[in-house]
Amino acid sequence: MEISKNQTAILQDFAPHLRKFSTRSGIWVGFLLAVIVVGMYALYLQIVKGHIVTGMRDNVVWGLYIVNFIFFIGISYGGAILAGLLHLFKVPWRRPIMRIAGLTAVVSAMIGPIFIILCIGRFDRLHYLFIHARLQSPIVWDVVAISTYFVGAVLFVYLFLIKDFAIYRDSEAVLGLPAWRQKLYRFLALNYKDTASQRRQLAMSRNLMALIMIPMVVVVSSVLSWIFGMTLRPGWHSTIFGPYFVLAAIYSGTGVIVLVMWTFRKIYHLQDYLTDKHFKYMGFILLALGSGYGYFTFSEYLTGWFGSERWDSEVLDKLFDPSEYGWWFLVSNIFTIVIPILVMAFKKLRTPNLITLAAMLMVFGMWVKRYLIVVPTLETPLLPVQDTRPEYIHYSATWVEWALTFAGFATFLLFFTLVAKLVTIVTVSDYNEEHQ
Amino acid sequence: MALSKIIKLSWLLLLLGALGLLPNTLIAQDEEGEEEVEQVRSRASLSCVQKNDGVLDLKALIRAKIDDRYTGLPGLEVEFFTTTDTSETSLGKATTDEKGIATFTTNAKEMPRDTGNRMAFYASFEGNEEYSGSDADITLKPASFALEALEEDSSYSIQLTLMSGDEPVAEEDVSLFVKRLFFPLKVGEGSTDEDGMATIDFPTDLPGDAEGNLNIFARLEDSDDYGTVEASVTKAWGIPVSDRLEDQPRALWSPNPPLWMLLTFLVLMVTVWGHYIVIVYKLFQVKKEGQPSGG
Amino acid sequence: MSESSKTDRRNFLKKGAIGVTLAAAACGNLLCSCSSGEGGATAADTGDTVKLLTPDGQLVEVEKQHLKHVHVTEKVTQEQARQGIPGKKFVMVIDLARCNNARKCISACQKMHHLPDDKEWVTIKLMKDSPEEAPYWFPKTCFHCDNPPCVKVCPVNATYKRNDGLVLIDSDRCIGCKFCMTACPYSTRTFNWVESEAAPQDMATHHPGPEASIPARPGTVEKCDFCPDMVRMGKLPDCVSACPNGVFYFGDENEDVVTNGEETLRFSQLIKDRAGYRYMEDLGTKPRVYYLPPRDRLFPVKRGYDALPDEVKERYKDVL
Repeated sequence: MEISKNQTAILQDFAPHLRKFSTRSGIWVGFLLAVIVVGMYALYLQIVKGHIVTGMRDNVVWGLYIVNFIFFIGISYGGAILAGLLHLFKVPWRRPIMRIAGLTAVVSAMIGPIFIILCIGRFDRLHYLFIHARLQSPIVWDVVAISTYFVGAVLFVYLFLIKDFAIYRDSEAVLGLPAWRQKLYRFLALNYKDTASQRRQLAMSRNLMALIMIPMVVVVSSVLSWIFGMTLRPGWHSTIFGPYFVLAAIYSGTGVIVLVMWTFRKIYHLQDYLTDKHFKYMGFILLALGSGYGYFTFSEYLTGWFGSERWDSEVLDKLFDPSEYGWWFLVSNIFTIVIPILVMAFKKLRTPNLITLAAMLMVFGMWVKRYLIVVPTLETPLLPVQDTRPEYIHYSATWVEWALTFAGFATFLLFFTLVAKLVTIVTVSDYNEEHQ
Repeated sequence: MALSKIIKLSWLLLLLGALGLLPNTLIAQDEEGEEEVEQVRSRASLSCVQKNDGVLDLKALIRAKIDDRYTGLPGLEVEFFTTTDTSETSLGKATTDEKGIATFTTNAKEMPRDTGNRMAFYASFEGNEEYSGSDADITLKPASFALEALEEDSSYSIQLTLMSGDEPVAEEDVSLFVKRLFFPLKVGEGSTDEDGMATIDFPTDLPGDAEGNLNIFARLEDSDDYGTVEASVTKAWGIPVSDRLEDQPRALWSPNPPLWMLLTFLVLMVTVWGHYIVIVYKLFQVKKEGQPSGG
Repeated sequence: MSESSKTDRRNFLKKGAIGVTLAAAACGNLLCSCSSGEGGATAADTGDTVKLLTPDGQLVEVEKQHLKHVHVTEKVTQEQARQGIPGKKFVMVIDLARCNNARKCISACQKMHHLPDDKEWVTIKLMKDSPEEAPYWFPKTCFHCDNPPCVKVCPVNATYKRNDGLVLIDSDRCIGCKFCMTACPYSTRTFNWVESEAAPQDMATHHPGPEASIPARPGTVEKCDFCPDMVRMGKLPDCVSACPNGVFYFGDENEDVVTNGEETLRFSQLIKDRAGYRYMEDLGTKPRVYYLPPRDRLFPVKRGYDALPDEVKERYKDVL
C-alpha cells in the first residue's frame, strides 16, 4: 500500500525497537523470566502439596489469587472500553493511545484467568466448566463472559493492526526485518492494499466492534462483580456492586494505560508522539473516573455504616479499625480518590510525571481495594469462627501466593515487552496526514 | 527391609482374612510370647415378643463392659432351649447382630407348657477366648391380640382384645403404634378391661404411604407374665404421600436454569457472536479482494 | 516411624487381621506412612489405646490412631445418589435445651466419614446473641436448605439438591472453586487443603460416592451429608445416635415423625409445642434443620465448658 513520508519517518523512529533486541532488554527479559521461574516452582509446590501451601483456609477460601484476578481482568476491561470510546467518539488525540489501550486489554486478559486457575483446587477438571456447565452459576457467567470478551478484544486490537501490518509488510527497506517477520506481517496483513472497498470494509468492522465492545465490557465487568454480589455475605451482597466494578475496572485500566504511556515515552523517547497534552487529557479522564469512583465508594460505605446492620457493621468495623484493616482502607481511599483528584485540580501539578505518579498510586490503591473487598468479608462469616488455629481466623498470604502474584505481574510485563518488539506502540497508519 | 516384609505379610493376611480362608486360631497361634488379651465377662439377657398366630421371637442380648460401658457384642453364637421341669430341648442357634442381639423365631403352639400354661426358655452363649460364657432364661404365658379397626364418621379407633388362651387378660397397659422409617411412633395408649378389651382412638391426620396405608400395631410391653405381645393391621387411614421422584423444577438451585435466564443468555450470545461473525466475514472479504490474482 | 509403633502395628494386625475393616485401616496407614506429613504426625505417637470390637465379635486393643469406623452400606448408582430416596423429605430438629457440648456428635461424625481430628463437619458453637442474653451451645450440621445458596452458585453441578431434601457433593465432579464455601452463610463447608489427605483404604464395606461422602478427594469441597447411606438402610445418622443427651431428632417430614433414638415424636407437634424455629430465617435459605429454643435446660452452660480440654476451651473463651 501507499506509505506517506510521514509514516516512513515514524517507522524509522521505531525500526530499532522492532529490529534488534538490545542487551538492556535482554537483561530485563531475563529478570522477568527469573521471577516467572520462581513462580513456577511455587506452582509446582502447590500442585504437589495441595493448597495447604497457600494462606487460604476454610474461612478465607479466596485470597491473593482472586485479588489479582479481579485486578488484571479489571485493567483489561478498562483498556478495552477506553479504546472503544476513543474510537467511537473520534477523539482527536487518540492516535498514540489506541494501540496501548488495546494491547493493555489483551495482555491483561491473558494474565487474569491464570489466577482463577491457580485458585481452583482441581484444575485437572477445568474442562468440567464447559461439559457440565450450570447456567445459574456466576462462575459460568464469568467463564462465558471472559472467553467471549477475550475473542472480542483480540479481534478489536487486530482490526486496528491490519493497516499497520500492511505498512510493515511494504516497508521492507525501512525496517530491514528478517524473512520470517516479513512473512508473518504479510500473513497478518490479509492482502490489505488500502483500496476504497477494503478501507470501507475495515472501517465498518472497526465501528461495529467498538460499538459492541462498550456494552459488552459493561456486562462482563458487572458479571465479575456478581461473583461477590450474588452471595449472602456482608460487604459483597450489594446492589451497586455491578456499576461499582464497571467504574473501578475502567478507572484502574485507564491508570495502567497512563503507566504504559509513560514507560514507553521514557524508554523509546516518544515525547513527539505521547506529548504532555496526552497525559493531561488522560489525567482529565482519571479525574472524572476518580470522582465517580469516590462517589460510589462513599455511597457504598455510607449506606452500610448508616444502616448498621449487624454483619455489615462487623465488616465495616474491621475496615475502619486501625488495628485491623483501617490503615489499608485509608491508604486505598487516599491513593484512589484524593491524590488523583488533587493532582488534576491544580494546573501546576498536571505534569506527565505527577499524573503518572498519581496513576501509579491509584493502581496500587485499587489493588489494595480489591484485597479489602475479598479478605475482610471472608474473615467475617455470619456464625462466630470459634477456632483456635490462627491461619483459620486471619488470612495471611504465603510466599507461594506472593511468588505467583509477582510471576503474574512479570508475565504481564514480559508479554508487553515482547509485543512491543512485534508491533509499533503507536498506530502508524493513523498518521497519514501531516503529523500534528 | 523389615517394614516391607511386614507390609507384604499383612497384605496377605488381609487378603486371606477377607476371603474368610484364615481361621482365627491360625492367627492366634502365630503369636509368639505376646500377652493374651484378658477374657472379658459377658452378660446375657433374654426377652420374648409374641406375635400374631403364636409366632415367638426370642431375643438374646449379649453384652460386655468395654471401656466402662455395656456394649452389645456382635457375631456371637447363641443357642436357644425350651425347658420344662424335667427336660431341656435345643431349639436352634442364632448369631448376634451388630447391637449384640440374637433373634430366634419359633411358634408358641409347639412349645411345651407346665401346669400353669407357662413356657420356659433358656439362651446360652458358650464363651470364646475373648469372652466368658453367659446365659439367661425367661418364663411366660402365651398371649395374643385380636385387633379390630373401627371407622365411625370421620374418626378412627382400634379395638383390641388381649387373650391368654381362652382367658382374657385384664388391667394391662397397651399402646398403639404406627410403623415409621426409623422407630415406631406411639399414637395412643389404654388399659384392658376385665374382658381383655381396650378401645384406643387413632389420629386422622397421619401421613401414610402413596395409597395412604398405615401399618398399625398394638403392643403390650415387657409384662412379667407375657413378655412383649404384638399384633398388627394395615389400614388406609393415612393421608397419601406421593413416593414419586419429582422432576427437578426450573430454579436457581436445580440443574435446570429458569427460562428467562436461558433466553437472556442466548440473546446476549447471539448478539455478540453475531457481531464477531460479521466482522470475520468482512475480514475474509478484505483478504479476498486483495488477492494478487483478483486485484 | 519409631520401632515401638511398628510393633504395635504388627500386634494389632495379628490380633485383628480377620476383622477386614480394621486390618484394612492399618494397611491404609502403612500405605500412607510414606506421605504422612503434618497431618499424621500429631496423633501418631501418643500411644493411647482403646479396646474395640471387630465385626465378628473379637475384642482387640489398638492404638487410637488406627480406630476407624465402618458401616456396611448398600451400593447405589450415580443416578440414585443424585435423585434421592423416593418419597422422603428429611428433616432434623435440634433441641438446644439438651446440649451440654459433650461433642460425641463431632467424634462420631469424624469416625463415620474418616475425617482427621481437626476437621469438623458437625460443629458446636457457643452462642450469645446479645450482651444480656444467656449463652447456649449451638450444634450445627449442614442445614440442607430448600433454597440452597451453595447449590445455586455451583458451576458444574457438583453439589446438588435431591428430591429427599438432602444437599450432597459429588467429589468426582467438584472442581474446587470454593464458590459454594463463600456462598454458604453458615460456614458449613470444608475444603481438602492437603494433597496427601488421600482416600482411606478401609472401605471394603463402604461404597464410595456422594451418599457416603467418601473417598475424600484432595482439592475438593466436603460437608455434612446427613449420612444418606445409613438412612437408606433405615438407620439414624451417626451424630444422632451418638448424642448422649438426645439433642438431635432426625426423621422424614413426609411421615411427620422425628426420632432421637430414644423418643419418636410427631415433627409438627414438636415444633408447635416447643416453638421450633429455623436459624437465620430472614436469609431465605429455607433450612431443613429446626431448632428448639434453650428453655428449661437440662444442663448449665458452664458444665459443657468446664469438661473441655484446654485447647478446645480456648475457642469459647471470648463468649463466656
